[in-house]
Amino acid sequence: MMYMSVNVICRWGMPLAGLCLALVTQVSRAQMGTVVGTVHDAMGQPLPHISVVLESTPLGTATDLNGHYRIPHVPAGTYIIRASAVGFQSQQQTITVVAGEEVKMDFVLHVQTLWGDETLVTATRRTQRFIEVPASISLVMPREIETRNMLSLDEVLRHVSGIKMADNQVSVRGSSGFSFNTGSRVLLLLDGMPLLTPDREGIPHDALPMSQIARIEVVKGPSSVLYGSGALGGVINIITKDYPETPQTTLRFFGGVYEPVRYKLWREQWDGADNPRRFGGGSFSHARRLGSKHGFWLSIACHEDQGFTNSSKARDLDMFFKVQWRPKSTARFDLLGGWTWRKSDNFLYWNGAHDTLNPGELIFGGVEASGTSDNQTNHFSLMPSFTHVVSESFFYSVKARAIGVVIQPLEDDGTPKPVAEGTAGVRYGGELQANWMMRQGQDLTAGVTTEQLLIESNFFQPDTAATAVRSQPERAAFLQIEQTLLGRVRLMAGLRYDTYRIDEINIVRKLSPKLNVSFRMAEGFTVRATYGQGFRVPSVSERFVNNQSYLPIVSNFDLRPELSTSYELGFRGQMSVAQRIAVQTDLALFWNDYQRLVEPKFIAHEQSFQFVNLTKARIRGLEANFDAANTEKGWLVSGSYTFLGAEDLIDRTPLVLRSRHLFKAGFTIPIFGPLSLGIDYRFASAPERVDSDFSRFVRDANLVGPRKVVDARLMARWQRFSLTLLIDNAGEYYYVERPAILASPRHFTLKMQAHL
Amino acid sequence: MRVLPLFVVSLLIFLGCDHGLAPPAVEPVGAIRGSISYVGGQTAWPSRDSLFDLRFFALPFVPCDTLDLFRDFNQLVFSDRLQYWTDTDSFAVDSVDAQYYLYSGVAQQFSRNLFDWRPVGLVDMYRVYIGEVVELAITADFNNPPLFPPDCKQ
Repeated sequence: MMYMSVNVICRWGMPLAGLCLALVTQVSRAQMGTVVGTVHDAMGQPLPHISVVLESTPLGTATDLNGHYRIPHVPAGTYIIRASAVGFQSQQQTITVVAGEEVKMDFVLHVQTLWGDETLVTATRRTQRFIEVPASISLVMPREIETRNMLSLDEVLRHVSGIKMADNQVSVRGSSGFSFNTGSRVLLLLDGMPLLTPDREGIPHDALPMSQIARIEVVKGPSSVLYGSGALGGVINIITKDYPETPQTTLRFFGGVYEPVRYKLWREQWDGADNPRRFGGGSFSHARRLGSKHGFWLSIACHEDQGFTNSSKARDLDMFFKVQWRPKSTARFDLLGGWTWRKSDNFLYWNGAHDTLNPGELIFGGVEASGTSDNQTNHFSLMPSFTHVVSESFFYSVKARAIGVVIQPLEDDGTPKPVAEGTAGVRYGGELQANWMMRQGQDLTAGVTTEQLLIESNFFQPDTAATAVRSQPERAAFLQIEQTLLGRVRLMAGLRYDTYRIDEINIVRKLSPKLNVSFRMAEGFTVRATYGQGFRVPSVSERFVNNQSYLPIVSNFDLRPELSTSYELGFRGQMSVAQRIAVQTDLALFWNDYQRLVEPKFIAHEQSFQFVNLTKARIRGLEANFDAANTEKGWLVSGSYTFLGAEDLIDRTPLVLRSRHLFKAGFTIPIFGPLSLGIDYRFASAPERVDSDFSRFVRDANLVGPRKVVDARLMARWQRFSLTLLIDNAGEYYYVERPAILASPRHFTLKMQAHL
Repeated sequence: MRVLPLFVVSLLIFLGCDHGLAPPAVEPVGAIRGSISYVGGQTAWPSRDSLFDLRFFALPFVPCDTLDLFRDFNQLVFSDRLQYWTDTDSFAVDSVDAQYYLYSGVAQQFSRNLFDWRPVGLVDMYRVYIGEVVELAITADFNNPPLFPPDCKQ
């Protein structure tokens, strides 16, 4: 009976995985044995983070960095033990545990696909198998982040299908053009909690615990029904790791150089361009269990970059931690926190196509605007959460969050100016969510959220009231019901009601519905149809920014929320070819209508730029993803193609800064011994239309061509040590990701990593 | 899989031929230098409350109104701020696009408003050739400024 109830609870999945483990301690300790072993891949390399469980029991664990696992306190008896993980074919064996003895069981797992059938995702506020999620979703696993030495989220997202980066701004299937990194149309979640920055409501790419990411889920299409404003184009959900069963320490060091640009004319304009520009850094992380109820992980990382352009130096230091406490078998408390310090020169726009390495300058009237800004940023986050399993069919979670940012401009000597001359803001809030399994195949998810944003900035229009602090409180309630019909059809319907107080008088109210249907044609093959609405309330910075220092821009108090309506048909399939090659494919046809899109525009009578509700647009297209892996040879191949028909419905012209074709492909192959080679290729066609307003002021800002970028890597792995040589932009291709900023030229990185 | 290394090398060679964005083949720039004579001497200068900025400017088109200046702000060439309350002055603007300049002279910003500019002296159209310096002589008269905006119907 004990096992049965625990199994029911475990069906809730990953959020409760820890609770399942905690329940182990409740089992009678009489007549116990222990199961130990090691999990390797087909090449004999140890596999960390592999889930090893005893079927039909709550007993299980995950392998450590050496591939070892240990399951103590196993009642004597015969069990089926199963090892499984993302991207590997699961293996199972029958074992007999004898009281007082240790049973050894090793596994060899063969690569299945990059995203295996066993993968669980939670971006829909409920844990589901990847194959069953009725939405377009891409996953990034920690091995990809480690292998490519990705230091920030934007580096990760560049490799995700359907995503195009414009500097730090994320565009999912053409949802965004370029808006000075202000007001993201893609919502970022950290362990399910919204994490947009208080200052610009953008994504803090540099302020995330990159070394402790368990996976990244990218949901494409509006998700406002679950997460409210901001989820207009999609949701990025970062899931951090739990503490491991055995202590783990990881050291990582890297260093590299940007190759001098090939064109003499560019090098002649700046003294620093003739020599290789250096970057480097390191990180330390440690994770361990502390007794039967506690555990933690801690990561510290630093990074310094001379930058490949004049005025793009950066130094940063970050520290993150996660503490977990399981006071009872049915309760769990997590505290995730972090601090990031960054001092950087920010290159805003170049001095023209003849001088791409120097920032430009705008002088007109009495205004002198500079194409660079220097500042120091401190970013804080603290996120406690509590989960309580009330019964076999009901649990709830209470979460809180506080995210702060302090940005200080720098004096010429690098000393930070007073905060009053910069920006200080905090976003805090909480949510209560309940999950109720009403009956088998029928699930209900409901909750309420509240959030407040307080921000004061020297760049904002002063308030007429006594305080200069701007705010935008939010309240919301949501409900989602899922029903399985005939064992093959899964219906999901949801509704969310949001209110935003945007000033003393006006409140924005929005009702967001969503309806999803998925049909399992056969094991491993599903089709889906989705309908949803999304919205985004303009950020405080879009409404109140008022500054002449970098580009003349004035506030617009009258901005209205952006709206989107989305339809999608999709197919997902997983199969095995000739018993050796695992193949996975995902196809999607999508149709997104956007209204009141907010874009920056030069307003002549204001003599400045201003964020305005500029247009309505339609983005239609298709996306195809393909992954294949040979389980014997150990190679992986992946590719994706996205076609976007993005039309401005007011002007009947192509939408600004959207590429019609996105193509990404990559492979990893073993060469010999511990060596393997990986290559990724990214292509984005030239936008059919560029931002003509920006190019009025910044020389050659309309030069936005195609992107054809090759990244190569050579890896060598030994037991606890790995060495990687990365050649990013190996083809030495010069391009811009956003107008008037040259993207990284060819650069070489050597990375060493050791698990102690 | 044996063909894969060959494919990789071919891909890199193919991609290595295209380097994307490149600087202009020849930087098509010249320079403009000149002298300015102010009619009436120092006594003819406006008061400080109507003199917020003063610069040499050059445009490749004739603006029909002030907003036209923002039609293509990148095309606007201007010097550093000129001296105030002087009889004569000089200016130099390097690295200007080699092309025809149809509307050039000295402009005064007469209020804090960014658009409150007026020309106080103009020169005839001229052409800047690549690598060459154009010398201008401008006469500026604060009390009898040229008509602005000019008559675009002509």
